[in-house]
Amino acid sequence: MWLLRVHKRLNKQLLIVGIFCLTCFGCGKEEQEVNIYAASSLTEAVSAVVERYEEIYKVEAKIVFAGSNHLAAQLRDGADTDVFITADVDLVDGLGFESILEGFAYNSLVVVKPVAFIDKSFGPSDLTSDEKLIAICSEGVPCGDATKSKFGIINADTYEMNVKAVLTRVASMEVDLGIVYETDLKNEPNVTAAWPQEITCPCVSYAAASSGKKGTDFNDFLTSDIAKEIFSSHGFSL
Amino acid sequence: MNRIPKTVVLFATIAILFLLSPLIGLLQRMPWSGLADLLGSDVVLDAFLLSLLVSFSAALAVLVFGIPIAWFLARSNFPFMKLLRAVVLLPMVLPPVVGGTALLFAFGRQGFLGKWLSDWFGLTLPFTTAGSVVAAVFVSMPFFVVAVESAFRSINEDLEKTAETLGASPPKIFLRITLPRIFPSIIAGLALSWARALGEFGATITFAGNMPGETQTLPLAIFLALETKPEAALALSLVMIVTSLAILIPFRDQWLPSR
Repeated sequence: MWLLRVHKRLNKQLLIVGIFCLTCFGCGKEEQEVNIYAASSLTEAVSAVVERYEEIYKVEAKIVFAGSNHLAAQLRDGADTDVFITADVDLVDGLGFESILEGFAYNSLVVVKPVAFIDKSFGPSDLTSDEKLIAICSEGVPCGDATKSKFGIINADTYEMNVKAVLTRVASMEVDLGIVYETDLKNEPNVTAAWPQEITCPCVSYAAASSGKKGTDFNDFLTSDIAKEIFSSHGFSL
Repeated sequence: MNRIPKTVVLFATIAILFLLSPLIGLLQRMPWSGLADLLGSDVVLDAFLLSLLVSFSAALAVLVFGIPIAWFLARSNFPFMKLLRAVVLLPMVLPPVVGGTALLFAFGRQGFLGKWLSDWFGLTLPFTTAGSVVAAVFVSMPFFVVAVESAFRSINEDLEKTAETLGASPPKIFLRITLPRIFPSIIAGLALSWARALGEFGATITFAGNMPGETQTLPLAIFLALETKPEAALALSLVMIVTSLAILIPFRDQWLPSR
């Protein structure tokens, strides 16, 4: 009987110690962890930058990738992050970030087709004809606004919510043509330029908004030589 | 009337308040003053009409094909019945986006059936209104089948057998004896699956894409607007809520199996 009682007490003490350990583990980690929200067009490049950042500064980082508007909407509704990297600097307005780093990388748009359609030839007139299936970004999201200002009216068949969705449509051959970022060409082996295109403008300029020391430290790293090298190796202009 | 125990009332109240609070939140943030302009815009009108077209077409397809499935599941001696039922109900648990991707693998341009449809009939489903209906049928069919199958099971087969021995033809037996008794469940199942089709988002955007006037139903328009024009999203949500209430409220008392 007494054995049981001792056990019970011991259990309770263990439980308290256990809970205590769990809480301190949790808070310790959270204090060091850098939270990053980044536009989906940056998925590969920012992942690579963050990996180097973690290595060099021995910190942990958590990244969320989604369309810039989607992330901004989440932040407006109470999500919290140290860094918000967006393809449209206007989206930062009213989110309460302390500092903004503008134009640390640029991207341009390109018309792509599936690699499997290598024998089919396309031209700019296909963008306005009814014959081809075309996916582009929806107006209102950064890649869609850029598409509109660069290409004007396009006879599209589907308007996607972010550039990765357009890329998926082309890569899976569900559409003939899609308009994506130049950098996507490097990251997706199943798509290729639909015809030789001159890169005429830096259509999209990325901005990184940050709050607190963790955020500012990461933003400083974004302009370091290491980060610059990663961005240019992924096809961004600087 | 039976007295309902206080505990039941308490828990029911909590649950109802929980279900009601998001609705209150929505109404409280609604931009009432600019509502007329928002509701009158082409985007809203197109999405509304398209949603009606897609959800009612889906409900019709569900009715025509759902009754035979339910009948078969309830009455057949097919050996792998449990497996078959699980397959039929799968769209209920499958994340809709996965369902949409799977539909692409089947009916997309590169899909094993889609390829054939396009080569032989020049028919492509993705990026068309028909594709939206296909996606809606896929996700909403199980809701109807569940309701109607249980109705088939609950009715006594003796009456049908008696009618048969008295020489009634199978169509007559179905129309005069079976159908009237499963009718309330058909209506209830139809209302459920229609509502599911109206709210369908994930499979539609994955399979049919997003094109105003063609595949952009209310939920798609809402999702896009949430990120780019939040007040329009609220107005669109109001349209959806009013539409579904307008259809579902009249059904409730008249047709659901009564006590």
